[in-house]
Amino acid sequence: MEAISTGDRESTPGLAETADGRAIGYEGVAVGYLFGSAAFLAIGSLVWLAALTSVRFPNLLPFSHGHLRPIALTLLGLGWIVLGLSGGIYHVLPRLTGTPLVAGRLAQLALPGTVAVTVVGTVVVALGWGDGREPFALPQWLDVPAVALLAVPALVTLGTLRKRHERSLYPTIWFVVAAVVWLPALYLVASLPGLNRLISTLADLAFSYGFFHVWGLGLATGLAYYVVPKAAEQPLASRQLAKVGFWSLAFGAIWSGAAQMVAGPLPEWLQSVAAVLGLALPVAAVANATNIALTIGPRWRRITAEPVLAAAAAGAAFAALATIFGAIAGFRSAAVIVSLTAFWDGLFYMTTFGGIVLLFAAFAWHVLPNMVGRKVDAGRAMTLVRRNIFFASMTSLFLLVAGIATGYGWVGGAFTGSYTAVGEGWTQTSGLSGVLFGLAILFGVGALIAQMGVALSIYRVLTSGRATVQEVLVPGSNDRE
Amino acid sequence: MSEAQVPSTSEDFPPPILVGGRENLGGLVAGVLGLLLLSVVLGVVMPGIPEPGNGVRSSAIGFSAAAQEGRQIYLEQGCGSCHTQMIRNVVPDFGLGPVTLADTNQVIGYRRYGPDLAAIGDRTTDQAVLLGILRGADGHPTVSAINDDEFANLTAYLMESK
Ligand code: HEC
Repeated sequence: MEAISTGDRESTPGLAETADGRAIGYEGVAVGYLFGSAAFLAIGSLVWLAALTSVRFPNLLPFSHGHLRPIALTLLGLGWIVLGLSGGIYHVLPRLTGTPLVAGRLAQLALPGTVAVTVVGTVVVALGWGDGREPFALPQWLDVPAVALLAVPALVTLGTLRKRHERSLYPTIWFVVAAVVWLPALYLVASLPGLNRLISTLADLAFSYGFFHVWGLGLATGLAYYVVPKAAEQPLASRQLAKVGFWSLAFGAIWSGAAQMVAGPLPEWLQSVAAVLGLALPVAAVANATNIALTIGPRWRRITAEPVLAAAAAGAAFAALATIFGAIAGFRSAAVIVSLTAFWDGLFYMTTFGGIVLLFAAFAWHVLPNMVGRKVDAGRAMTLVRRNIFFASMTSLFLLVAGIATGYGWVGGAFTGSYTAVGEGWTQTSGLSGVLFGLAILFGVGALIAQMGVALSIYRVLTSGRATVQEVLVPGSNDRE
Repeated sequence: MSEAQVPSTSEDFPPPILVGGRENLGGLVAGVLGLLLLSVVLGVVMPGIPEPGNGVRSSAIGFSAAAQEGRQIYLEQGCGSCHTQMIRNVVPDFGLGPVTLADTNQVIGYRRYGPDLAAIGDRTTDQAVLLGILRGADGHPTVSAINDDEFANLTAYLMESK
């Protein structure tokens, strides 16, 4: 059997049947989300590389880093990650609950809505009308539709779960529930009007990290828990480990934010609390990575021929590595060197373009063939996995090291007094860290090509690839209604 | 999976592999919400409760109306993506100026790709110099989308940041 696109027919009884006998529910919704998100992955990756470039070469591009950064985060966050992983939710929910999506129509409508907010948001920020608050910098009047749209996955998920026929809750569902509940709630907190400057910064950081950890990494991991057992044809190695991975993730999610402000205007106790609770994050990521590795089990021997498994394993490993570094960087002695530097952009890169991209690819490559009936080319997919691993590693590595060099530069500058005349920060873009940052950008070009390749591979499923068996959800006999 | 997911004609299908457990949905949702609440209270609300400042740099020292406009422009132009206004009580920040306190009314920022600007008004008192920087001197990113009044407000904010 081909590694990818096993085309496994699976029957999910319990789907409601319409009057004329159609029994599909809202299958098309998930496909639409996945295809929509791939475009934003491509554009967002491009703009993120431009944003990095604009730090090193400020006037090379027509937009400054102050605008490119939130634009890239919006394209990647709202565009790719929210859409792509919502698509994941809408795919797995009916299968894991034995129930068609509740409010599937709403989910359908939220797709163009989210695309619209993303596009309008980027234009507005580019014009200088954003509010300058990380991650998305959307002005207040766009926050309102944004929160409403981000609440849709919660409505659909909780509604569907309430009506579920399958009583047991598979681990993927845990991650889905956490993500859909956290996303709109945290966004709402971060967009409340009238916060003072300190709280608004803390809220921004809590949202940014909560979003990228619980929705981004968490959900992507949850979806890996769905596809890895199927692709490996092995049951999940350990429910206990999945539990550790899940609850620790929620415990540790937001604390990387406080690490940016260590020794700044924060109460002393918070700095310890954040560092200690932040340790939960690597615990989570390591538990999940281990679980995925164990589930792959005997298939490891053939992993180079199985892009779904290879991508999932590599993505989980990136997540583990990034969260370990992040936790270390949360402790005061490390934080005074690396906070506010390129180090944290290196971690972001590792999490997003190492972790989330590969986990997303694993999911899409496994489920799309089942949905649209065409295979993903395994050889080509494997090349993409390799390229992503290599270039994302190199890019993050150079950003991390550039940040460390800067931090030590600041310490040195403080002792010699050479920075007091101009303020500090010079060394981020000049000297040694400037060179390292430049190398990061150089490898970032290779990474961008690989990220574009992942996006393209999703569209290729539509246009090329040999036919495979399509997964059909059939009406079940145990409908309640 | 339990009986609901067991395929009807077992020969055609592999055995189910996504086996869930008996879990309480209400408990799951409550746990998730609880952790969210804990995170927000501990990480956002409690540390944000203002403490009495030392009067050196605090919201007690207000910005002029022009500077407040300027702070808005500073936010809109995303200056906080590259500049902090947060002087920390650590060696790397030694000599930059008075330490930033919890009741700050400046834009704390997210990265420090350029110098900290909490005390820029102490260093640079010449508006022309600031305007030069914002219009691209020293290879600084150019701010082009704002008019002269807005430039004046932005520089007022910078000069009053001390
Ligand atoms: C790409 C990141 C970046 C952005 C965005 C940015 N700056 Fe800068 N800024 C720098 C760097 C790097 C320096 C130091 C070198 C130089 O002057 O070019 C600097 C220097 C400065 C200085 C001089 C500091 C000193 O100590 O003399 C001021 C003032 C300043 N920036 C204000 C702003 C304002 C206001 C904005 C928003 C419109 C802004 N900057 C946006 C990177 C940035």
